[in-house]
Amino acid sequence: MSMPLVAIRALSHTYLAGTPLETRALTQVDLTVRPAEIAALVGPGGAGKSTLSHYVNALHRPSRTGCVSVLGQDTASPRCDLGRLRQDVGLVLQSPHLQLLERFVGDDIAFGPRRQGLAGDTLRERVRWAIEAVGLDFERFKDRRTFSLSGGEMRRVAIAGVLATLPQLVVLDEATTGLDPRGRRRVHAILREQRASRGMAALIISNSMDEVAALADSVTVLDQGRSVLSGPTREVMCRAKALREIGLASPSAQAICQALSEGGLPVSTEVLTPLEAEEAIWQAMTR
Amino acid sequence: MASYDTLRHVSIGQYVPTGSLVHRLDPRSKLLWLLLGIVALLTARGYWVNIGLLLLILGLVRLARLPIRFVLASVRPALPIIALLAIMQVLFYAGPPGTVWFDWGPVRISSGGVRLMVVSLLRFVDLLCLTSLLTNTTTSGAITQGIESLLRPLSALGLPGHQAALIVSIALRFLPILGEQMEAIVQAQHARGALVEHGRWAVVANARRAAQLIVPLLVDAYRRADELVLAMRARCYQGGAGRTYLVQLVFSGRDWLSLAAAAALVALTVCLRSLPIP
Amino acid sequence: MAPRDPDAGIRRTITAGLLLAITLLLTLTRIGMIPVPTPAGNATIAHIPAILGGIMEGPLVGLIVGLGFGFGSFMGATLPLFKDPLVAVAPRLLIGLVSAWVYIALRKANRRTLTIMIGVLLLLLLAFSYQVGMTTLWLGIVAAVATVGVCVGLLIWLGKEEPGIIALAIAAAAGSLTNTVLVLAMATIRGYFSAEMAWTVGLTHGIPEAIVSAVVVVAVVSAVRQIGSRQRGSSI
Repeated sequence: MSMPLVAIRALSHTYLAGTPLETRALTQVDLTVRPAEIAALVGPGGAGKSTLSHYVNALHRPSRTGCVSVLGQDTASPRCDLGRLRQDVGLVLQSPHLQLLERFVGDDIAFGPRRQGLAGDTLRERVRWAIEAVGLDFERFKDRRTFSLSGGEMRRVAIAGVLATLPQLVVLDEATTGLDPRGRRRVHAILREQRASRGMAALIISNSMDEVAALADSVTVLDQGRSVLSGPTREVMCRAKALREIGLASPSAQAICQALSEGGLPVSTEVLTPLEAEEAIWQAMTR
Repeated sequence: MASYDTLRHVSIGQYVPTGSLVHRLDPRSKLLWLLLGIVALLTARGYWVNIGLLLLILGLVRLARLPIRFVLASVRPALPIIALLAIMQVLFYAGPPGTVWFDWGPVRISSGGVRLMVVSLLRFVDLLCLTSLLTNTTTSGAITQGIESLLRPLSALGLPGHQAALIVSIALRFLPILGEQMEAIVQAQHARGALVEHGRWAVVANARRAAQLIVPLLVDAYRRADELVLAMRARCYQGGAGRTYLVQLVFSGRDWLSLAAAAALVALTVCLRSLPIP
Repeated sequence: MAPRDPDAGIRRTITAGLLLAITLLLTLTRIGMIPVPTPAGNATIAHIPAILGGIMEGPLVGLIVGLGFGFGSFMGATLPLFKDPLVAVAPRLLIGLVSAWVYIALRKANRRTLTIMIGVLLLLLLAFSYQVGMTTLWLGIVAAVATVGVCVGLLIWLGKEEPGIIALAIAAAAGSLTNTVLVLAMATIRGYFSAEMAWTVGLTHGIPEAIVSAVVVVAVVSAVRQIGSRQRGSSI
């Protein structure tokens, strides 16, 4: 098995330690992301998902407890090359307009590659590749002002800007929350395409179990700062009762099959997507 | 760049519920205490009066059951600079000197200089405690209401009291949202490698970075402003006068007492000013 | 000309509130600091919302946000110098006002007027530097160099850019310098600084801060109002 891109072990995080306001955000959490894997972080609000994701691109660095290794570098070490790390690990946030730095789309997307040393035609080609990877037309969009874009376009430009540095891993912090189904599918397609063509891995933080079921290879479930479930998606999603106790729903396809099964139809409940559910129901009905 | 904990949880503004007497006072009396306290500190003159004030205020902090270390914690990173400035204050004092102990070139160490430095430090600690007495014992909602309610009567004097009150309440209401947005911007910029301190000489580059921080925030704020205008129009808002509030602030006997104490304190410091106490 | 906006009053109030909120955020957290090569180590950007308020919404808003800046600066201060309300609050009231007035005066000016005004400013400042140089030679030299640098830079910029933008930059710099000059003046009067120290900090700090303010204000206003800049597209 190849070396994981992200290996977090026994990580704890306390906000405002030593003051009367101290709160434990994470306790002894593990997280692993393998190359070309799409991993997911789920959990009720306040569970510590964002905090954990901040360790992946070294926005936080472990102080006393826990070990965080990203792309082979120990982020706690002062010799860790943060600049390089942030080119190789991208971050996409929920509000796209907060992530756009430059006035024009082309410049914004070029920001990352410029810092990597690209210039001239190579730079141009990279920007073109990035814009087209998110489904926008290069010539039409490169000179648009960033603040004149629509919400969906802004989001795609933000993703393009992150992809432009050819990161090995992208963290999406609720980046699809609030998107319409078409927008969401587009983002998923981008992630899958990048995984297939470049072996890019992703860590998605999401509240939508359906999205996670459809997209992710592995899931880690956080509750109140602790990692309570972790493993391949199918395995975790089938623990419906445990999920319910934490306050998370099962993917709707599975919930439907579950309801049918309880109603008497011998249908498999180990389904993740509507397509699988359709298969399972068909099989059950034609038996 | 410092850690992100400090963005949303500034220890100055945090409400620490210890259930003390001070917590139960009306926010207006605490605001007025801060104001009167500042006046008292500014009129106090001489070592003894300032030491007395310090003891009094520390006592109040104790009364509020706030740990003194917490109150003074925010100062810790600045201690070296404070020490440096204090030393320079003594060395280069240019006011009325009293007794001069050392005089050479631009350096002049005198009793006047020492007194100014010591008094400044005492006053500084007092002010830290006073602001903490307000912000750590009062929720921000209560502070907002208090400020609003104190500003409104100013309309009677011809000042835009209602408008000012509204501005303050809008500001305090949007503070957490804007804080989160700012935090998100900083995170995103860091993640894109935009805020790395290239060194102190890249002033213009850093200025552009600052612009990139503020611009999205402000463009967003202006957009919010448009939405808010619509919302307020939809609720038939027509200006500030005549607004009523759900929760009325009530002044109790305790509050009058504390106000009287503050006023007495100011009167005392003013009187002591004219006495020749060192 | 667009019809008068009936919501102008409310919009002004709301904008003032939002700018005040941003000011408080900038003063109470470390975000409002940019590292610069000066003894104090950090230039502030927290006064910029006050400048923006003055320029975009008028003197009254500038005053209120400036007051907020003073208040926030006072509350968040960890240095005895800034915990003194006379140093932290009183001078800050004028930041927004000065920016507003300067902008009102300059915004309709055309290129020629501005060139003349910059020329006059250059002469005045050189005369001033000469005076300063009489007492402290090195200070006078620094001031003179800074003056020439800034004015020449402004003139070059004026050649390439719309006069409205230059007016913005000057108004912003004026607001920032008001902050620097008045705060240091109060600090000296109250005895925290000696005159020499004040001058040193003023020149080394005030000038970068003024430049930063101008850059940021121009960026913000042109983004919000979609104005300015001959630039038609990205550089890609």
